[in-house]
Amino acid sequence: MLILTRKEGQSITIGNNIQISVLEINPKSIRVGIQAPKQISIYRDEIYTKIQEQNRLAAEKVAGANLKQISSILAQNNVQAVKEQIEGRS
Amino acid sequence: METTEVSKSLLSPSLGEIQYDEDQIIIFPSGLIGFEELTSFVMYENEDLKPFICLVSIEEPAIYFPLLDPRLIDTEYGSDSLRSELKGLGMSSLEDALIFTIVTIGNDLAQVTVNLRGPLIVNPKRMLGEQIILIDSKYMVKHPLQLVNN
Repeated sequence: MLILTRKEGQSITIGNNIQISVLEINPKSIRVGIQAPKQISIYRDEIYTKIQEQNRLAAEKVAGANLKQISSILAQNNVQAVKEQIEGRS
Repeated sequence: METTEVSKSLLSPSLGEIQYDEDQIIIFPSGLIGFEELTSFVMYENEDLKPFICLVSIEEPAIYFPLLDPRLIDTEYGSDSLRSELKGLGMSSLEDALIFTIVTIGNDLAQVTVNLRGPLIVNPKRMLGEQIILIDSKYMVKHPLQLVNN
């Protein structure tokens, strides 16, 4: 990992089209601005890690039986009912 | 002019033998988040499993992801926030895109959740896909799927 020290107002350029700027430094947090092409995704680590973990859980040995069970429950009650349930709860 | 479709098959420990043609392969150039090495998939559908579809890895057939159309949960799902992501997949409008969300099913049927925050976008014309993360969205990573059981 490359480690640099920046002051408020200073920036870092990565490659030829990504720029990270330190906008504001506060005691407990810093404000960072990022300029990058639209095709490059930028995420806060917490959400990235969360999705990574969720993918892992989703791929975990799911017995085909569970999927079929849920499928038949949904078929019996139809997804419309499920949708209404969810809307009613929020 | 005749086109020969090469028929292939893979063996999924959970789903059984799955036959598919080369033109049914969907490539995720970046893989899925946390599974970057898995880039080739096929969709497996079966009457028994509806409304779920399984995204099965060709490289690791033991790995598959149950998918659900998020519009079954929220008919408004997927409007403006997804537009900027489409350029990378060669799509100009959302109408061309297929959107899927990954379902997590544990052993407990009361805790089935759908990841509405990290949908899969597929360009069906080019058979390319990508998993994206919605920024600052109201949608949850673990949206509970309430199963009404009589």
